[in-house]
Amino acid sequence: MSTQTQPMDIRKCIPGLLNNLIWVLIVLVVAGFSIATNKFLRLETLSNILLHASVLGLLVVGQTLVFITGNFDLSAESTVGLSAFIGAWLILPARSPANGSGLMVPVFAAILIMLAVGSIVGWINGSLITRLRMNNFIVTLAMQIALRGIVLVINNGFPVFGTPSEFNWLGSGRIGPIPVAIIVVILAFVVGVVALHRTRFGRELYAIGSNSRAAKVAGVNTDRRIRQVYIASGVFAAIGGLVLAGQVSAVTTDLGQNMTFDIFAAAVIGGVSLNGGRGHMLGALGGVLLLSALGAGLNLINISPFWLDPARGLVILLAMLLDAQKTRFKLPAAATA
Amino acid sequence: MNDRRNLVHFLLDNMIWILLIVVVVIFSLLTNLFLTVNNVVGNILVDAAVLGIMVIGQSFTLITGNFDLSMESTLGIAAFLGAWLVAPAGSATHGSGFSVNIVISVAAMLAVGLVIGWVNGTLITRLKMNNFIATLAMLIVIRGTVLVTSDGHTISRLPGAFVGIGQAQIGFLPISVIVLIVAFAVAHFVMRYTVFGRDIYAVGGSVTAAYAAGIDPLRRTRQVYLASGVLAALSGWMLSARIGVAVPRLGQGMILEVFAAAVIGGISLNGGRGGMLGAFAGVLLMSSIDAGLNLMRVSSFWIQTVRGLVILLAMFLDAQKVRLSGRKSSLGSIVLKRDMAIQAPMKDGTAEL
Repeated sequence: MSTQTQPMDIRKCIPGLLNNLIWVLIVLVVAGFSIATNKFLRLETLSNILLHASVLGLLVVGQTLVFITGNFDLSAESTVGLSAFIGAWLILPARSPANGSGLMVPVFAAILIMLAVGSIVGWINGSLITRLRMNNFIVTLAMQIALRGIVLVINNGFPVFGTPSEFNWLGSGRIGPIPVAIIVVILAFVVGVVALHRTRFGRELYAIGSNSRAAKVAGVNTDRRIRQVYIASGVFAAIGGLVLAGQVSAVTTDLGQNMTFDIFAAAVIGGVSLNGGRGHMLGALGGVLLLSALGAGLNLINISPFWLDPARGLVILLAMLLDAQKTRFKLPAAATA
Repeated sequence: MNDRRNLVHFLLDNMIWILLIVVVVIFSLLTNLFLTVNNVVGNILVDAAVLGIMVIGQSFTLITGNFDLSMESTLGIAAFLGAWLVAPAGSATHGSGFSVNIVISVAAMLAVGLVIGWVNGTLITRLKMNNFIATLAMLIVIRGTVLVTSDGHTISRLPGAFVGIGQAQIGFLPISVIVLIVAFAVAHFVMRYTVFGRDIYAVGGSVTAAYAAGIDPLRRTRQVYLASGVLAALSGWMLSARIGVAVPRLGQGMILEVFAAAVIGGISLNGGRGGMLGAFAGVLLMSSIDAGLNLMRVSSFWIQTVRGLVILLAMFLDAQKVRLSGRKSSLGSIVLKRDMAIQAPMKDGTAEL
């Protein structure tokens, strides 16, 4: 009999490890890079990882809320570009290196307008999906294309240069030794965790994601909640745009382009389900940190830049492969229960 | 009364064709260059050929309730390998110098497509990975592999036999257009009149029901990924043949257009709904809009915006179809169906184990 209990104990450990797989992976990646190069485990590198994680993290917070309801927001990357572009364009003079509008709007007002742009985009997405019953994937895909087009049209494809330091504060300012961007992303995750896991709002999102009809029957205003998560996603994208523009004090027309895949990968690696109703905000944070650590580490060990993408793709594959085994191990237990 | 309702339903069901006609009429009124043989055959249909072959492959996977995001990278790697095999070596052309027979080169390209399709299918059905993420990771890995092996170089001076499928004509019809039409005819036949077609609709409708009816959903899923891999490889050949070179980034960013064309054409992202004729119309609509905007010398910056708005408009009209025909609100059914489609095969899989 005692021989039978021992394998049982090992099997009990496996789900625990698999549930915290993302953190195990991060430890492995950090340990691996620390052994490979002594430049990795330095304050400067770690601060760089967090800085890089800041924009991605802001977008992932918003996207996770959308995912939990079983929807997608593919337009977030273009909202980053559009809001940052409009903000910088309103502030800057029309002269040649700056290429602004010449309206010289005060920075504070411009930032408010950026946040408004983000929430309007989110509201339009949400309304098209819930009121007009359009497919969420295609609506946000079309928005992604259309918003990027608007960025190009506003300024005939010219980038905007030289945003003032007040505008850049969120992206490149510091409070004491700590970059403001890192504080912002930590705050964003705190807000995300509280909203998703400590409020009625969060519980209702899970209910919508796992079974929207049941949620409706239980009295949840599903359409209103879905509009709200899209607005949240738009606002987080606008803040992300402000941070990203502040890091380089310029806004190119392709700012944020192709970020969607990273956003999706981070959230899904972190255990957020694309089918809604499953996942945790802290897991998503783990996914963001893993992707950023991976990017920074691969840069440090001097591999050809062409290898960066395949290496990242392979790690995503590996993480998802392990994640798929999680469901496998759990199913027999569920069957007996 | 009944007749009028039937008419409304007929119009709604063929919405995509009406949209296509409206777009064609508008462009014809705006510019007399639009409705010419040169533009229709030389621009719209030739443009539609590569996109159309991709859309056929994607429609197969979509109808089973899956995604294949990796198609654009499969297109890239197949074109690159095929071109490398046939092009002369040297610092300007970057080929292998083997100048292998065109048949072998094409066979190699299709084989690459098959292998990628097999890997996708295996990851999804045997290793139980999420189809979206598995094919997304494949998209990144394959594109990276092309960039690494090519070192960023473009392969040029492709022989005449290789580029024939993209440039030659039979009579006034380009070969690529004939391939497009034949491919859609075959795909339509397969979907409507074969066991395979009926099975994949069943799998997309409800995996559990399909399984109960004696269909092997996992095997059918693997087969559609093989199909999308091969078709992506074929369109890779057609695209590199048309432009006469193979660049490492060939096809990059194309996948969203493929999705848009399929979905505008009525293929549901939730599986089980849509047909190849609608998808064909979606492809024609996309390339008509592009050709029309180009002819009118609209700034390329505006083309993107207009394209996004047209997709939105088409989807808006499509959504009204669901509303008017009195089906259940799309949102609830989507969530329910998607949950079933993805969780059920896992249960089936373990039941088999």
